[in-house]
Amino acid sequence: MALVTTNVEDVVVVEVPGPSLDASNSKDFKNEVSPLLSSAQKVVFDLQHLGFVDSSGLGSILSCLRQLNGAGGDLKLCGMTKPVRALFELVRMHRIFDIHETREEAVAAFK
Amino acid sequence: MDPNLGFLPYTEHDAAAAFEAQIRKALAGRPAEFASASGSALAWEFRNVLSWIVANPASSFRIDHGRLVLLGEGDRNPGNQNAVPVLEGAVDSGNPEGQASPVAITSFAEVNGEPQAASSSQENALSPGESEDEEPSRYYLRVPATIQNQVVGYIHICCPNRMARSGLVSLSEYMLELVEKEHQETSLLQELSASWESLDALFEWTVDMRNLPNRQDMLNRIIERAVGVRPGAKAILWIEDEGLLLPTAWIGDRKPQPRGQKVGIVGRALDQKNSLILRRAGHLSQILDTEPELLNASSVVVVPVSTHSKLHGALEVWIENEEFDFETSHLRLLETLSMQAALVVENDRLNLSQLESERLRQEVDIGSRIQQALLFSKVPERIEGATLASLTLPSQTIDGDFYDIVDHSPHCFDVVVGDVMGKGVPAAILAAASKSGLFRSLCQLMVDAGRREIPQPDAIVTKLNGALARQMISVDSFASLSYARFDLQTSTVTYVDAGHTKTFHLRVRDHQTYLLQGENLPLGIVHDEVYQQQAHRFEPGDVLVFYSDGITEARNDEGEFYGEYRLYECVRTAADRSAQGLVNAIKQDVISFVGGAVFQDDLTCVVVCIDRKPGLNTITHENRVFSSDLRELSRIRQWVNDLWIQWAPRGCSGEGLYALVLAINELSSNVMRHAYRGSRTERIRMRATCNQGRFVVELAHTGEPFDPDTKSDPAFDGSRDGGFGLYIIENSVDEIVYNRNDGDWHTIRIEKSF
Repeated sequence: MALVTTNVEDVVVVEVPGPSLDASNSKDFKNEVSPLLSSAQKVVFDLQHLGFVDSSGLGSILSCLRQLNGAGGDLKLCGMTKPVRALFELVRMHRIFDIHETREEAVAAFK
Repeated sequence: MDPNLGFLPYTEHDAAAAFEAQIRKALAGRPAEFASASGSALAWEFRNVLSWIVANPASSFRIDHGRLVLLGEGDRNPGNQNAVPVLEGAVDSGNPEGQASPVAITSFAEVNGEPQAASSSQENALSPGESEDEEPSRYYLRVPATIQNQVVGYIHICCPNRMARSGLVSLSEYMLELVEKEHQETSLLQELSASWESLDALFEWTVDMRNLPNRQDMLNRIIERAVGVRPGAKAILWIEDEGLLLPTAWIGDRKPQPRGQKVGIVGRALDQKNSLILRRAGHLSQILDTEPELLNASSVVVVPVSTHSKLHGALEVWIENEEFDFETSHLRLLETLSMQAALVVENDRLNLSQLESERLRQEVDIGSRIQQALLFSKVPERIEGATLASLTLPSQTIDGDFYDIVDHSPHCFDVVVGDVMGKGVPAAILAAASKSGLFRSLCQLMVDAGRREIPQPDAIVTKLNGALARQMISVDSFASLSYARFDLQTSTVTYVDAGHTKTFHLRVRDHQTYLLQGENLPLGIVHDEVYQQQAHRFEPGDVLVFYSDGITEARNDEGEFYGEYRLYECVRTAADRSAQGLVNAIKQDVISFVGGAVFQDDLTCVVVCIDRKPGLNTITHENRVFSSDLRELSRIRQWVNDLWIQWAPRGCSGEGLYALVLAINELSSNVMRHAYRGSRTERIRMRATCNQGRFVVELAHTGEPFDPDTKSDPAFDGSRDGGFGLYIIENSVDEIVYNRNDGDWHTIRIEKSF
């Protein structure tokens, strides 16, 4: 799994690769992204390529949040498609995560 | 005027009353201008009598032995030849150089026929021969009536005795006062006459407006009033038309020629947007060539004819051959008349444009009613297995578009869409003829076939062309046509494309698109042309769109065409809507592209939506086996997704589908990881059923069964990143049943309503 990252000032924006993040690939994703998270404080996950996320995928994103929070950083999400949004709301994760429409808004929210 | 009015006894005391009574009696039965109509004061009567005297200076009246005698011009008393000569001495009341003192009287008429002479150069002259000591037999008084030092007439008084004389003198003085007042009033009235003229003109105009609907009549009336300022005045009313001034009404010797707006005095007045008064000397000498009407003019008035800031023309009035000054009062009248003329012109123009747009509106109205009645069609109701909707957006004028939908049975119907070349009523007539020709052809073919079967589209179109071609060729017209027969039992559409737009078919299963097209000629080109048909399969849920080129050739302000691709994209995007929803989406898209609802050509479109299989009341199954590899999850999700789309009714929301897919995914994932403990080579059986509006999935496995009751709710505070699966499943579906008893196979059943 290849991760596309962009640096916008001091914020690291990670494009999570699609088309889905489910039980088959969420562990791989977590492994790929973990080193990045240990060296960054401000991270944005751009989820625009994800048409589907299941509980495993959600779990991996949640674990990223906890990893960052534990190190004093924060994770924001953006570019959610409708099904993914529906999942987050179902399990009330929309209250835990800071979710934005666009990448720009998510980056700006760090200020 | 009857000079003899009868006798009245005269007494000193009742001098005034007697006189009054006499006058009253005298005036009773007189022409209206002398009679008091309703008990007004005697002074009014006196005044009127005196007015008569003043206005008719060659008359007088006298009191003689108590008799009131009125003498008119040319009056002759029998035996008295001198009655008229007496009045020669009267002064013309209109002559400003009138004498201030009375003139000599050369003779004096005596009622009883005896001539008596009296001459005097003073007021209240006594008859000759009178002296203080001699008692004359009668007294003659000739009292000049002076107004503002102008003698306007005389009052002759003849009385029998000296004592009555003073009463009569004071009476006459009283009468003179009245005359003076009368004269003052008359002057005031004359001063005000110009204003009254204007007001009168306005009043008349209001009346005219009701009686003279014709613009020219009204302008003629205005110019007639304009020259009323002065007898012999001439006038031209110029009205502007496309940069030139046209003489629209005129009073004069010769018809004037049109001229430019900048020419001469008129041009100057228009340029300054102000009235101009000019006297000949010094101002008018140079301009005779361009304004030949002013050759003999001694003074000119030009008043612009305008409303607000719009200039309509000018009113030109001039006097010839006499020295005359236009005064403010004249100008005021002419400006009033110009304003009237401006309003007439403007009103006329407004009416014309209003009439024009009214006429246009009526035409469009009639046109669209023709369209509705003859060229379009109602969507049939008894078709089962498909829904149809149509879009007709008329253009500015009626057009040659037509369509029809014929249902032969609940499972078989024809969609016909056509477009006759040309515009307006001729095209519409041909379109109507084409439609009726269609039915006739259909009927004839059915009769030929002995009504055993419905004729094929190629036969129908061939026959139709044969019937119409001659007429169409003779008027140099032709029509494009698309004839499509839908058979819902064989899921086939058989179509004849005769030079029409490509029919768009969207296969909703995989969003594959097809453009249905034929190679036939349009109708009306070759009269014995044989038309070919083609067959094409469709599937449940598919959408087919027939349209006229009014849609694809609709243009926006930049001149871009809407085009086929925009249409297809629009249909693709709105593919899961109902037929009417699709029609609305297309309409919205075209209108917002064009930037309004005004089109050059009619927009016509028929949408056919094949119902999804099978309908809510029947049961369908599908079985599939997946392996227990987590990488299969995406294939499982796709399988559920496709079936839902096939089975769900149109317009169903997407949320239900997301939830179901998520639930199946979680369930499968649990089975793979927990029941089969991650082994990838096991089998998961799945069966999906559509039953009475519910989507049911049964999953079966041979792994370790797990009991959901032992699991607790997940942590919603983000403190744990697992344990969501079961919560998700339970909150995504309507029902879930875990069943462990089926030999080695454990089943889990999930139900979700559409």
